[in-house]
Amino acid sequence: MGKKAVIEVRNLVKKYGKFTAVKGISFDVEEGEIFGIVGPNGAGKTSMVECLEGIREFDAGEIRVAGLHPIRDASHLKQKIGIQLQESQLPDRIKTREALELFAALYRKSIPWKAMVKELGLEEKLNSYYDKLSGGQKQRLSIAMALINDPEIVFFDELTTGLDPQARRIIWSLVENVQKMGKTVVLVTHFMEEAERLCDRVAIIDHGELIALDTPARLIRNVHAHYRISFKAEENIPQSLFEGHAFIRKVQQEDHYYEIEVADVVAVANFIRLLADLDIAFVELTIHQPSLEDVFIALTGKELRE
Amino acid sequence: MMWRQYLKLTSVEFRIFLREPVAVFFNLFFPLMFLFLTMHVFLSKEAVEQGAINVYIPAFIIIITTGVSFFNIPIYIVKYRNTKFLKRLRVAPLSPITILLSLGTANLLMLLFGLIILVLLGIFLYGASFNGNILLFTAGLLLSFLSLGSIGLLIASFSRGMRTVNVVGQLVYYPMLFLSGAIPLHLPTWLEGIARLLPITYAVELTQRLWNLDYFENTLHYQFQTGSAWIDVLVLSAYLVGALSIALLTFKWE
Repeated sequence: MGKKAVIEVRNLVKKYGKFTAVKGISFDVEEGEIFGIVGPNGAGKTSMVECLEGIREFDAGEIRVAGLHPIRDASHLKQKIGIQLQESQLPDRIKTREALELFAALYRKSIPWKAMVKELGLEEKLNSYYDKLSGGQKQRLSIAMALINDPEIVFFDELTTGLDPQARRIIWSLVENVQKMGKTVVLVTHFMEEAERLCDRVAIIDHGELIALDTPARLIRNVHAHYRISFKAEENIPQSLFEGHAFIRKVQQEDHYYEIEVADVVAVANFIRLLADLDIAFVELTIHQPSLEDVFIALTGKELRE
Repeated sequence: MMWRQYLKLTSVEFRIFLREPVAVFFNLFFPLMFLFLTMHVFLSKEAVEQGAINVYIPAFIIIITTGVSFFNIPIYIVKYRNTKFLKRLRVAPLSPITILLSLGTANLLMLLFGLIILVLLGIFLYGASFNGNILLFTAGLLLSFLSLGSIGLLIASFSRGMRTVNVVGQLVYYPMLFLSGAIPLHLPTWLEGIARLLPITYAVELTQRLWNLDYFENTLHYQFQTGSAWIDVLVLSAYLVGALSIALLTFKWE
């Protein structure tokens, strides 16, 4: 990579009384990338990011964000970063236009937001009250507010939680646009699909520790996650038919439902050819490609909950 | 920079308040209802003819002040805290003092809005007249607002949910309302003793004195308490300093 690091974190520790939420995490975020921070609820993601944003004091370690110390240089740093807070709401009776005007007035410099509003699809909603906006519109407004000071680094925390799949996809393309504007994005999420689709690199956090950090593709390759083929057979298949084929890793059966684990794409093709050769009639065949979700399960031994 | 932030936040806040019908009703129209009841039901014809309106207009201004202080201030602070709007403001380059000053000013504007309606109605319907010094009256009203508003801030500091705010607000508001002397009621002596402990009693007394400065000794209807306006100022200042320091020390942004 060799790009410039815009965020440097070394041995970060954050405690709440006796509970240690962040246990000595180190990483760099490079200029212009979308950096994902994923992990289950309560893993310490938000605590860690709020230390970077200067919202929380930390107990040990070193942090530099845009070359600044988040606490000591807080007022300077706030001008250079944009933040969307997890679960933060605006007053019910504030209009979209007023929210944008208000936040534009809070910063030393602000961008002309009319064009941005158009791009975010909020033009029609400028005179709507906040409580009349849909979940997706509220989140698009929070993106607009995070960008209003033309920040170098933007933090998004659980941006798409609670949104329907369509609204989520719209938000994803907007986040990609933020990156195209040349900004560095730190994206906190517990959706693996989101991290895989958007992020250049992903840090997986569990129990306050960094357990993996790499590109999604490399993370998936390195844990040797398998392809899974599942289907329903018209009649029972004798287990012996699957024996003696090296590309089949594992067979699971429940009634007529089968789930087969194979190593790679070639093995998937081989297996389907085998079904045809054996004249096995099947329906509902799906192929599950290994994903970050599998990486996560492999590394932490648990599934992510919504 | 700070000035621009302050003006913008205050104007947005004030507009938000005006859009909340329940808040507008309780803060502004509820006191008007008391005005009509007092003038047409509670008071004798004789008292009305002798200019009782000039005793009750300043008292009802304090009722509005109390409503804004004990309901509007804590309700909005707790709401903004629970929805993380306060935290969102803190994340912007905005000092906590600016945030609190803006909230205070927007509430003061709310109070002035109610005051103007009340005074205009008092003048046109009942022939009220201001007989004091406008600067002194403004200062006295500001002190009353700061003192009662600090108690509102204190309620916000100690309340977590909206339900608590409502209950605490009502528990503080109604007893104070009836004990303050703002409403013509004959209190038993022991209740009067309690009334002498409440800040609102002094706020009512002070604004009544300052509204009627010229006629201080001549108003027949109202038995003015003995003692000077300085006692009112002293008591209100003590409440202001006490409530404000505890409220600020215990204030939670999230």
